[in-house]
Formats: sequence, structure tokens, C-alpha cells
Amino acid sequence: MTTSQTRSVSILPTTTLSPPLLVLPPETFLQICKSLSPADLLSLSTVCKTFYNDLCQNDSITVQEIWRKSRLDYIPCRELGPLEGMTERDYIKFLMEDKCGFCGVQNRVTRIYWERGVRACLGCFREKTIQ
Amino acid sequence: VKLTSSEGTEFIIDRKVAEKSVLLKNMLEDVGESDMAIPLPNVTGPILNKVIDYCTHHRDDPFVSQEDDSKKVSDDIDDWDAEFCKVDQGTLFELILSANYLDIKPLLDLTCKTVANMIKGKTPDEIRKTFNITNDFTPEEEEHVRKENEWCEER
Repeated sequence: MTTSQTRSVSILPTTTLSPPLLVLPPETFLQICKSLSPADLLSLSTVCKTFYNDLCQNDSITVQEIWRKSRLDYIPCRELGPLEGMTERDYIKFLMEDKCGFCGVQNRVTRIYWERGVRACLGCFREKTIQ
Repeated sequence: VKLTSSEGTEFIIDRKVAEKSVLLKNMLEDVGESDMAIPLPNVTGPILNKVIDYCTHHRDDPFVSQEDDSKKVSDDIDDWDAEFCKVDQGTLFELILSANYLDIKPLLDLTCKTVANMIKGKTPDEIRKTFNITNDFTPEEEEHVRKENEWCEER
């Protein structure tokens, strides 16, 4: 299963049956990613293992730079970098996802409490911080 | 300048057109004037034909340096280029690989942007369908990824 989808360095993908997008050299794949929005990058990173591994290399400067650039292009008001301990990808999810960090409930109105580094709904935030 | 594709088909093109490819430009500078055909074993005839079309159309464009990545998002594709990219996926990906190999930055940018446009606004499932990719996560990984991805299912 995994062998059929591993990247090949061959320049002639036509000789293999793998989907062409999977056999591109990693640097070319990342070049494609450069013009994607944060939401598209998140979608792409959960398509299959290969893309997940390519886009979630937290120690790769190139990969982090792609997320960062996409964030700055598409969410321009957020020039501040990720909070401590967050990768660029985590940070984008944190910015986009409407999910309370305490109760985990989605689709409730949440806001980011920057001073605490948490996204929460009002109820949870009051309860957790007043204590 | 003479070029030979992987099947041995010969192409004769202007030096100026050939020089859109940094690989060929460097080769020509090293070799100097020569009647010898340059073999391109990694590029098939039909693809080389497309590449030459592209380079001929863009022969007078200013040279874009490797570092000049400033022009960003992908909507700025002109009509000729958009028409040029209306090919099947196999051809499109071969063009990407050839542009990469021949080092033709604007063609690589164009073809990569075209693929990016095919990804834009799609869910992971739609991306799989478009590019014929199998979901190869194990059930546990799938569950983990699904959790990570909850936000986008409601888009």
C-alpha cells in the first residue's frame, strides 16, 4: 500500500502507475503549495500520508515558510508569529478553527484570548479564568 | 540549435528560444557554436514540442531570476498561458518535470500554479478524486486526521 505511493525521483512518471501528483519531486510539490491558501494547505495535508508527511515537517524551514507565507498572504491582519510551542500549521488551525479550547464545542462563538494563548467560548473563559 | 527528444526526434530551434532554458543556456555557453544535437533523454517529443511552443511565445519576455518569487497568488495567468495549460493531467505533470529539468522558471511557475488552481477550494476527498490518490491512512490515523480536520468538513 505504502510502496505504491512513495515518491520516486524518476523524471519519467509515465512509466509508473502512481498518480502524477505523488511522484513529483518534493521541491516541486512544495512549489505548487506556495500559492495555496491556509485552508487549501490544511486540506491537502490530510489527503494522504505522503502529503501529510511533506506538509507537517515541523523542523523544515522550507515547509514552515510555506505555511507562514500563506498565512501572511491570506490572513494579513495576523502578522504576529505563532504562539510559543506552536508550529505554523497549528497556528493557522488556531486562527481558523472555531472551536473552544476548553469544552471542545464547535460552532459556538469563540474568541482568541491572546494574553492566555487560548481560543475559548465566553462561558468557558469566564469559568476557567475567574477561578 | 538542435535538440533530440527521448525517442530520437530532432528539433531545430533558435538559440534565443533555447536560452529560455537555463540548462540549455549553460550548455550552449560551455560548448560554444556546435552542430551537434543536444540529447534530452528525459523529455519526450510531444512534451518537447509543447515546451518549445511555450519558449517561442515567451522568447522576448524579460528573464526572471530564481530569487524573484515576489509575484504571488495564482490568478495572474494570461489567456495564452491558460490555453497552453489546457492539457490532460499526464501532460501537465510531464511539463512540470520537464520545466524543472530544463530549468525554465516561468514555465515551472505557470504549470505549478495551474495545479494549485486545481486544488483550491476543494475538500481532501475532492482532491483525492481529482488526482486519483488513495487515502492510505490507517483507521487510527484516519481518526486522528479526521479530528484535526473537523473544521473543514463544515465549510
